[in-house]
Amino acid sequence: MNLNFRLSVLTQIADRWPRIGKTAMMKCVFFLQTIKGIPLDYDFEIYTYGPYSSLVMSEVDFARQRGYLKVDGVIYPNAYGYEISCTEEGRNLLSNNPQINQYKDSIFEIIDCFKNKQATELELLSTILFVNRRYKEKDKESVCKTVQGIKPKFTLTEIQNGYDFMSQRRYL
Amino acid sequence: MNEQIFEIRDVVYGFIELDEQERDIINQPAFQRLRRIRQLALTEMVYPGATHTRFEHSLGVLQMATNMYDCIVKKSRDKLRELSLNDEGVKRWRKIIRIAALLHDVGHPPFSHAGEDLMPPKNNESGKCYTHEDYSVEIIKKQFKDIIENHPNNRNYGIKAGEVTALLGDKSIKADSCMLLWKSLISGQLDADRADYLLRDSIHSGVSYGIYDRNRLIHCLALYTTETDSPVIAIQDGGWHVAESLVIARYQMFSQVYFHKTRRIYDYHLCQATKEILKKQIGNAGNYPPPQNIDKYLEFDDWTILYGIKSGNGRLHGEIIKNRTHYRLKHETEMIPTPEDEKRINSLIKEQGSEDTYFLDTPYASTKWYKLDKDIEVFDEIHGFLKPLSEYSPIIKSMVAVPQIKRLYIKQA
Repeated sequence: MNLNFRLSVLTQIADRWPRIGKTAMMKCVFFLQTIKGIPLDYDFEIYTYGPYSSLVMSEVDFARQRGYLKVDGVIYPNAYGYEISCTEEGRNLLSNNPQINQYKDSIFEIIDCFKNKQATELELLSTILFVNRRYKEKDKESVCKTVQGIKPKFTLTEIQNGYDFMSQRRYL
Repeated sequence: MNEQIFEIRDVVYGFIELDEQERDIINQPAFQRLRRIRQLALTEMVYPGATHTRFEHSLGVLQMATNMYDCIVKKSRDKLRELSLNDEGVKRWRKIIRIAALLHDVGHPPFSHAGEDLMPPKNNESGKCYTHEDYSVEIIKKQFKDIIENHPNNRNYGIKAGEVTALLGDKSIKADSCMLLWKSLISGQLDADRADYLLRDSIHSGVSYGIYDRNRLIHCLALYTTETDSPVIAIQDGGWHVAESLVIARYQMFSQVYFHKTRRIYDYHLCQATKEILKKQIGNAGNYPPPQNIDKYLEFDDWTILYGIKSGNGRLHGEIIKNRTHYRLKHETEMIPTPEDEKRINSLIKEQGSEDTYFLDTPYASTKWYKLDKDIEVFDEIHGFLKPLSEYSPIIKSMVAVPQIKRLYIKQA
């Protein structure tokens, strides 16, 4: 899929999810590509902080250069982060790009499902999904065991709850 | 009985120390092949000293990764215990990292990155091609598994080849937290690979652009945790200036050496000449054999290609390399091409008519000098959390961009 389409998806996410952080943007793109099959063609790899594609962040920066997105650094009480917002120029891009319309429902569903989650929860849920798809692990026990190896900070109960959350929505 | 240590002289570190297993790995033909893979392809057409190879760089990455690891371990014992790493675990990971560092480039094609455009597609649908990392993983599994797992030095460690390939991006190996952490020493914004190549390429090219304070950098590395409690390698508060100098060194090396206008056109000529040689030798569309045919792939090195060029099998582009009659730069755009730039290039291309008489270089990927996405993290002592380097350094912040410079080269009359 072409660059313009991917920039439109990033812009659409920022429009629907005001002041979205970089972690949330990354995980949201991962969910859209993996769960909804939106043809974004990003290569996700697993890191200590969950699935990650360097191209996603490069293209967020590229969208910022083109004026579709605004990216502000923010100091929170316990972390340094970013807030990404859609600009007027971004909204123009969306209205001039009808290709995005067929994916809008999927984008909105994913955002509505995950937008109230903390960055830590998003990391866990996206890691569960990554393990399920990449390693083709289907049963709850093996997924949770592998996720615990990747993210030992989480208790088994927390991982199992995360698995249930994803499974109940048929995202696994 | 003490392990025997072997010392090799090196232009960056003075001496590099190896144990018997590492020496035996180096003596494998697949590793010796790296003596015949130049680090910087035909950069010598511009910087005559730049004839160094992946062999010495691989040894250098082993040394750099070891120095980085030892410093991190020394400073981060508590954090390592949280990862359930005791002294034995620390020693074992040190060994895995050294072997992975040594073998990280073993899958490079002839002339390193200049040959990567000729990697075959993984599948025709996606159009994505194999990378040198895919070949490295395959070579380690096929050619180095035995020496990694069954060497007498491995008796105390019980290291598996899969633990080495996992650090090099082997997707078939299930990840765990330690593996993901140490992987960033081999491939990340602050990795041993770039920390070595900047210094080494500078020395051999005869430039000073890539020189930074190596010892300071190494001694500023430590383990921290992100806001979501994930372990990461980052820079101590007081060390951000050295991280800044590393990024600037990289920027300078890209602009002055790696992306030099004449160097870039020789990548093109080399790629075209190699394609002709591969067509003749393999009979396909001009691609290297896929990783599944690794023995055939390993037959190719710089000598094979240079012999093909000397024999006339590189055809037009081979002759251009032999006689140094490369295409000349006709137009170069701004960092981000303006509409006028685009018009000028299109009109010059139209004037040329035939595709054989020009080359348009659009090195989008190779010019991402500093990626905001993988910003170097610095620990902010005052706030007690990690902050990106670009928030400390106004220079780095202003460098953050995705340059899309285009260059049009025209064949000499």
